Amino acid sequence: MRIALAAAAAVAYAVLLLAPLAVIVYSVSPGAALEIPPSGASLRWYAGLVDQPRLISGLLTSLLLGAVATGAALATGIPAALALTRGSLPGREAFLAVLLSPLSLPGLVLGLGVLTSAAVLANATGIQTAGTLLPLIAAHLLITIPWVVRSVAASLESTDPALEDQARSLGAGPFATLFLVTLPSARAGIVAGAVSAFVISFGNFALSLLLASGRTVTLPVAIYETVDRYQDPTVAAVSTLTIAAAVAAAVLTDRISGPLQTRDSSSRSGDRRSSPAGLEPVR
Amino acid sequence: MDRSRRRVAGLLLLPALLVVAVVAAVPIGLLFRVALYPPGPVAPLSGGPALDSFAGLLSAPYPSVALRTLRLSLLTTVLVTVLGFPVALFLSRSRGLSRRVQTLLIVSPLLMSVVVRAYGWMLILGRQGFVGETLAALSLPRVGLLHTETAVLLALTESFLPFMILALAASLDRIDPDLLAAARGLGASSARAFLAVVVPLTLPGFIAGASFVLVGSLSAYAVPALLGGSAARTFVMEIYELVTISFDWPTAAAASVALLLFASALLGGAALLSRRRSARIFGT
Repeated sequence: MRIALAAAAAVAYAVLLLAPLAVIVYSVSPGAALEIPPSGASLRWYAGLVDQPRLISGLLTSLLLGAVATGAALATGIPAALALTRGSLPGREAFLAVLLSPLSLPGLVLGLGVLTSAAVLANATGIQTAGTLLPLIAAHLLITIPWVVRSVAASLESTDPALEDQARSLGAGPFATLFLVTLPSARAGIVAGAVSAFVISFGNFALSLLLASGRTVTLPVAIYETVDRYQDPTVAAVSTLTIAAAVAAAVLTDRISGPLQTRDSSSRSGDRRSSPAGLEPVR
Repeated sequence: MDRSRRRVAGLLLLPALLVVAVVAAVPIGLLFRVALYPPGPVAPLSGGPALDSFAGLLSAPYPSVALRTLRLSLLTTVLVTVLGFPVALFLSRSRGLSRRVQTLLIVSPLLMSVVVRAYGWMLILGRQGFVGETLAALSLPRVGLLHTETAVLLALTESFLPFMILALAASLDRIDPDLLAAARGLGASSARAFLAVVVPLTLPGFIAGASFVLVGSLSAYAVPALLGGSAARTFVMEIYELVTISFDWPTAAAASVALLLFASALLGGAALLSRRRSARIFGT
């Protein structure tokens, strides 16, 4: 039984590894054509990246967009997580559901909506946002906030509020308590939320497709436009860099907050407190 | 004290709620409005309100495209469940390093751009790709799977498998091992205990995972566009072309609204179903 399960798991893990592996292998191929068996390996496509202004500009745009969206998501998401876990708010679960709802919206449809809003805004007030990063930043902020809220709220749920009461009774003001006790104890959740937010923004495609044009084309959109037209290992090279970054992000989050998403048995027996509604399953 | 605490909490919540209102609620509201203009590439939009754009969705090619999209989503959901359940079971029984490595294997793909993963499948399935070249090297006839529904199904399954594994594993992790021991102690065979205890308790995870996979694969754009192309057009691909090629915003908005309503109905139904399920299991 155990062997059958292990075999089934191995098949599934192999399926998950196949596509990234194909990209990595093609990125070091000596020629533009794929060869089986390969006749050697070469890093020339990585060096060739400097001659691909669209991919380079896409990479820079995505890095900037990811950084801005993550910063804004932390600035809005951490207060929201605090309110949800410490605010004794009525209808807490409804608020959480509202904040997480953008995750289940079809990205392309949301992009069309944002594009329409930008057009309406331009018609009504003359403020032109088309061709700027603003619509992309707003859209990415919307879909990164849930990751910050979820991760920070989970972290705050697992820390003991009694610690904060003690700090208050020892004479610490509300701000001192917040910055010296509450936020440091949620550090793991904040870092994990920031990493997820950045990675989600950096890799987003469907939502960005209709909003990106000219100088605001993001890396996933640039890759999409390039692979759609011709085969070029340079695309595989830049894609491999993003794969490496994704794996690094996964390892990093795992190191900070312990096994990601799925809980180990130790936490199950020790922590019987229910997590806030909607924090599981992971979406 | 409690009232001022609540007021502070409300203020802290406000910025995030404002983002949802301005960037999600307003845009979707506008889509509902644009959908009520008469269909066609007219600028600026005028006339209406009428339901002509919605009526247009009933004529070709939309019904057959919608059916294909639905079929692909259902098949994807079945495949990720069949592939994902044993993995989730194996994962929930693993401890220590093995569990961490497996979790990394499951989570890492989620952190990669869907475009990069679809690109990987193009490299594998194309006539000049890994499969085609391997066949050629073995002097077998080349087969190209690219631009077929099978290719779309394969890549959709891969891209949603991690979600289903995580959803099922979250349910499995919550099962008290004492329950299984109790079932065995009362004389159930291990197969019977599994079917009567483990499977029903996994249902909440399955419902959450399946509804997410269904809605997600209905809304997928990159995978069907890159791996299916014109051979497997999906509903979202139609929306994209209505906007960028025919400039028919009212019909695009109507199609978006139809998709949103359908997706909300699915998610709402799933939420209702899982509430009734847990009420039956826990008797509350």
